[in-house]
Amino acid sequence: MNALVALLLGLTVTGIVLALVRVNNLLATMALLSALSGFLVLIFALLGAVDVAFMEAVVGVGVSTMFLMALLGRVDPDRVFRAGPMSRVWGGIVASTLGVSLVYGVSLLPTFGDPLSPASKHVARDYVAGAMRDMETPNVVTAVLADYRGFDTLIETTVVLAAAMACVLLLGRRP
Amino acid sequence: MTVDRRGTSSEREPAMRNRPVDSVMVNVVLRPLVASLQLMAAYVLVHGHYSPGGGFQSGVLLAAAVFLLDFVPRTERAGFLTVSERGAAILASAGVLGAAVVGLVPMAYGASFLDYAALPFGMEPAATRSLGILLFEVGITFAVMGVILSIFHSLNAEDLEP
Repeated sequence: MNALVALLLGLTVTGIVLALVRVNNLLATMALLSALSGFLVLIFALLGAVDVAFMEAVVGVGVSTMFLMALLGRVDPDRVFRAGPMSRVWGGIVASTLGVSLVYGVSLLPTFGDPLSPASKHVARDYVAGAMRDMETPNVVTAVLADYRGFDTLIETTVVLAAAMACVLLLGRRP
Repeated sequence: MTVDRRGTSSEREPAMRNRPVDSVMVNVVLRPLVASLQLMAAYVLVHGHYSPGGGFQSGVLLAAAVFLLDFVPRTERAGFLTVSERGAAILASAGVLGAAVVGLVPMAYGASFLDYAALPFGMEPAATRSLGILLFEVGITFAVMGVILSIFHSLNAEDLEP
């Protein structure tokens, strides 16, 4: 059953990506990117990464679509260029090289859910065992994010704040 | 290089710009949507210990509840939460500062940075850590909300210098 759902999701995502290549309208591109995120949510949920799926749902489907809509308001439709034939060839070469190396990289990863993979043999074991004992938190993801790896999360938020400051300084209204 | 020209810019302009839409549908749909987004955000934040979600997701939902109102005319926004550009920047900075303070307080009690067990609540360590996680997540929530609203405001800033 799961295999069938995964196959359908994979086919849908491939279809959306092919449509993204063909479409030549900014609004349609934006809608397709949003739909792509929506199906990624389902894939993450299928893989059991519910927290990641939730994040993709609110950020990928919600916020980035809104950001793109806000950006569309700034694009002058008369100054949108389609790539010429030569840039398409170069773009195709770069994209294929990247795709092949990504597939090669994935083939080197441990099998999905392998209990003997390096990631599950190090500290992860202690985190799963200790979340309830140390901080009464059944959701291990929250325990790792906010406590075991709290420093990481704090600095991550600082980085996001720096990104927002850069956006305001570069794009914001001049006084 | 070919230029994509479909329709003149004058007839396309209103659809492309993010102007508020004075429509009954928008008002009727957005009002309950904004309210339920805020309720959902609060649930996601306080229930993050037990279900998917936490500070980041909650902050994004809160920000969405604010910037969706950009589609409603200003006169229809009475009673809803709106955040100015200045307010968004203050919110983002205050959120990061709040999270950092939750980490710094234990240091004043002789523990290490972000060791919530040393927070002075007078409970056993595990329960104190649980509460510390919640306080930390509240800071993250406001930081993320402010960050997203800042970026959204700067993308929407109209009078742009060429």
